[in-house]
Amino acid sequence: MDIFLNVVLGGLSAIGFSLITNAPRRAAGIIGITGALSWTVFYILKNYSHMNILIANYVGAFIIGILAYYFARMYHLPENIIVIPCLVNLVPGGNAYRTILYMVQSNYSGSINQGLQTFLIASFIAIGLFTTPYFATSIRRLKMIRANRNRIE
Amino acid sequence: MEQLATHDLSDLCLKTAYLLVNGGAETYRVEDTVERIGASLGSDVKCYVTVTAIFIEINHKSYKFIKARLGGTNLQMIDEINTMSRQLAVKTMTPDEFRIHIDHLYKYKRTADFPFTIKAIGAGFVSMAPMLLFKMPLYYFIYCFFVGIIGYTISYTLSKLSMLPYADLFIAGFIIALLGIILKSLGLVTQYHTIIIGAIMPLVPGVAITNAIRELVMRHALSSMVKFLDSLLVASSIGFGIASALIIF
Repeated sequence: MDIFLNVVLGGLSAIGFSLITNAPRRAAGIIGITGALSWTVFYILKNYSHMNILIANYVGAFIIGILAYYFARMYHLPENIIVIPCLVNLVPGGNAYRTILYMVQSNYSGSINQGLQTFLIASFIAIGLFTTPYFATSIRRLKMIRANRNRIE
Repeated sequence: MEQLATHDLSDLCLKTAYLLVNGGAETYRVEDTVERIGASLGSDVKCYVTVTAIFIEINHKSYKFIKARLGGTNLQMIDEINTMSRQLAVKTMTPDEFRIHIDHLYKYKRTADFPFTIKAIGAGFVSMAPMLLFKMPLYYFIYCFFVGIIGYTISYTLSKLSMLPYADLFIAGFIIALLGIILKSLGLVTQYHTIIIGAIMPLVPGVAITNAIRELVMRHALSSMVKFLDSLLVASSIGFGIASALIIF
């Protein structure tokens, strides 16, 4: 039941942000699937297996990256259209909020703590997002080099 | 294939680039798309895009530039121009049709858009997702849905009314925090932190952050830094809105 609620709300939330940014209508289903999958995996990793939150964020972003890469090529959409709405679920809003909250409460060490955590989570999301395109382009280049060498021989 | 006059071609490229920048595309994608359009129209086009200006050189002799502005997000625009440039490349669309479409888009500066009520409901759904993470009881979801809609509505209306960039987000953050505090003092919720975290989610500068990271990776450091600064300012104006509400009440 818990997981089911997560799948539905993760998808709905991604579609909701795609409505705000006026994404094309034909992309709505793709965005929903990507958002639901990445959010559910992130949630399971964080709340059930009690993994480090950085790793959970990394895996969530990685799933967005790999799905966006393939859907973008399959349906001829710019990758960004899929990535932006799905990424909004993973944004470390809670940490950013606590950074400001502690600052207001004059708890400066807590504020710096939370700020650094926000920064780290954001960087890990970025790394996760770029894993797939990086390896995909590397593999494509490798294949091209191989093909060229075969032709010369 | 008929060749457009250099004058027409430069106008066409500038308009395309301007629309893409205003729709929130990454700068390297804008440059790439414009150069592809030039190639498929049989000319050698070079394009350089920063956040606030677009430079174009046609066949090594004609130069033009146009001023653009930061901000605005319209993913539909990017998708439409992307599809058209692809059709142009495989020659299922003639250059004249392409020019007419671009002129039309440039004149009205808008594409098919969702009505505001649907956008507001979408904002409500966006604000519900963080509640899952904190394992909140179900009635929190409902309050968060409505507070998120109110916050997004305020930000949307104010950004249409005023040209001052960050004030709308400041006021929206202030009112979201105020609503959270009111809900708590009415005894409807036991703590307002999660309500605020959820409700600010639709206001997050998602497009700017994602584009900034992508451009940084592609080594377009100039526009990437501008976008980073912009998203940082957006985030802190929301934050200071919340902070002032928390300090006052």
